[in-house]
Amino acid sequence: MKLLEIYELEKIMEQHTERLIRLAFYYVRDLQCAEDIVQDVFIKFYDHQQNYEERGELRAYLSKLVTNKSKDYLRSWTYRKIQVQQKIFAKQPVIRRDMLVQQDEQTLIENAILALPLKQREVLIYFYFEELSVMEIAELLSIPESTVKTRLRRGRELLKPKLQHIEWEVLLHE
Amino acid sequence: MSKVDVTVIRDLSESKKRVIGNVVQHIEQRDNKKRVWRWQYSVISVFFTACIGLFFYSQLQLDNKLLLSSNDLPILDEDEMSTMLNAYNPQSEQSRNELFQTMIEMDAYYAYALSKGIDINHKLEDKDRLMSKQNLEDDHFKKKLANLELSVDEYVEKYIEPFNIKGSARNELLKDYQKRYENSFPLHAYLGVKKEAMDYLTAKYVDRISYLKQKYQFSLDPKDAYMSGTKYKTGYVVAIEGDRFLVVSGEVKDLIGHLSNEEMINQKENGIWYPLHEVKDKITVGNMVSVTYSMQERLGEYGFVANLDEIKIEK
Repeated sequence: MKLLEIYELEKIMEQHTERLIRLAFYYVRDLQCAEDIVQDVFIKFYDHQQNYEERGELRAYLSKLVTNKSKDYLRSWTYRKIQVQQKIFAKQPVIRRDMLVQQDEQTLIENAILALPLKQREVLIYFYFEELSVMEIAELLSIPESTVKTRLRRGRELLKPKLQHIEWEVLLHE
Repeated sequence: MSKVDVTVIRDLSESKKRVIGNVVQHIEQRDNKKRVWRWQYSVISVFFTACIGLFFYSQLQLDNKLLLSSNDLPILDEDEMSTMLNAYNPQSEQSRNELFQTMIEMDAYYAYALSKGIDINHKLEDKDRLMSKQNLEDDHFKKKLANLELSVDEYVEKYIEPFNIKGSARNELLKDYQKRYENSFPLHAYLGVKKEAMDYLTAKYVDRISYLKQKYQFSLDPKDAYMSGTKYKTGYVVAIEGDRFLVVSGEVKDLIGHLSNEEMINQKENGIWYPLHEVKDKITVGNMVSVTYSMQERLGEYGFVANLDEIKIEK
C-alpha cells in the first residue's frame, strides 16, 4: 500500500481523535492517560501502516488498537503505580454546587457504567455508546457472541440498583 | 459510584488539538533525534564496558544484603527485584524499565531520608500504607505469586510492607521539601524530592546500581519507561519563582513585568509551570525555550503544571 503522508494522517486524526479519546477514557477513566494512549496509537499506526489492510475498516482497526493499548495500560505496573500515587496526592474532589445540580441523568448513567468491572463495562460501552452489534463486539474483543450477551445481561443487572429511578436504556438511545 | 467525572469528555476539542499537535510534532522531530543518537551508541558501549569491570568488584559485596544499618530495610535488593520481576512479568521494555525505576526510586527515598537523619516510622497504620493486601486481590496476580511459591500474605509481609515504609520515608521527605518551598505544586514537590533522593542514591551506590543494571538489563532514564506521551512547548520564560518557572507561548515578551503571571496565562490562553531544579543556572526571564515534557496537571482554565524532560534555549 502507498504510505501515508503526514497531512493524510492529520486528516484521519481530525476524523477519529475525539471518538478514540472517549473510547480510551471509558477504559482507563483518566483523560490524560486516554490522550496519551490515542497519541501512541496514531504514532504506532503511522509507523506500522503496512499492518493495516485497506480492505478492513479504519474505524474498527483504530478502535481495536485503542482497546488493546488501554488494556495493556490497565495491566501495567504504571497503572498500579499511578493508583498508588493518586493515594499519595489524594486531593479533595472539587465539586461545585452548581455542578451537582447540573449533573444530568446522562452523566449519572455514564458514571455508573464507568464504575462497573471492566468485563461488563466494555461490552456496555460498545453496545450503547459505540452502537456496535453483539456480533461486531464479539469480533472486536475476540470472544464468543454468547459471552457478549452474558456480559451485557450481567452489566444491566449491576446497573439496575444504581439507576433505579432512571429510564437509562431509553436515555442511552436518545 | 465511581469517583471518575465523566463530564471531562463532553468537550474534547482541546484534547483533540493537543493529541494531533503532539503526534505531528513527534513524527517531524524524530528524524533529527535519530541523528543525535548515533554518537550516543559509542558512549553507551563505553559505559557498558565500564559496567563489566564494576561487575567483578560488585560480586565481592553481594553475598549479603545491602543494609544501611542493622535494623534497616535492605535496599537495591536482588531478591526483591527478582521476585517483583517474576510477579509482574512486564511484557515490554518500557514496562520493565518502569518496574525497576520504581523499586530503585523507593529505595532512594528510604536511603536519602535516613542519610538526612529523618525518623522513619516502621510501624505503619492502615491510613499510612500506599499499597495494601486489597490492591493485590486479583486471581491473575495470585497465580503469579503461587508460581513463586508465595502466598499473598507472605508477599505482603516480605515486599509490600517494606515498600510502604519506603513510601512513608517519601512522605517525610515531601514534608521537608515543602518547608523549603512552601508554595510548591504537588507534582513539582514530588519531582524535586525524587531528584534529590535519586542524586543521592546514584552517587552513593554507583557500583551496586551498575551491577544491577547489567544483571537485569534495565534503564534508569525515565524516557525509557512506559507511556512516554511526549509533549512539546515553545514559548518565553516569563517568570521564575521558588522551585518553578513559567513558559507562555505567543507574543508575550513586551508583557513581561506588566502583567501578573495569572493575567498573562489568561490573556494568552496558555502557560505551563515547569520544575526549576535541573535548569536553575541556565535560564533567565525573557529566554525563548523549547521544552519537551510528559506529565501534566491542569491548573486553572488555561494553565498546566508539568515535568521537564528536555529544554533547549532558543535565544
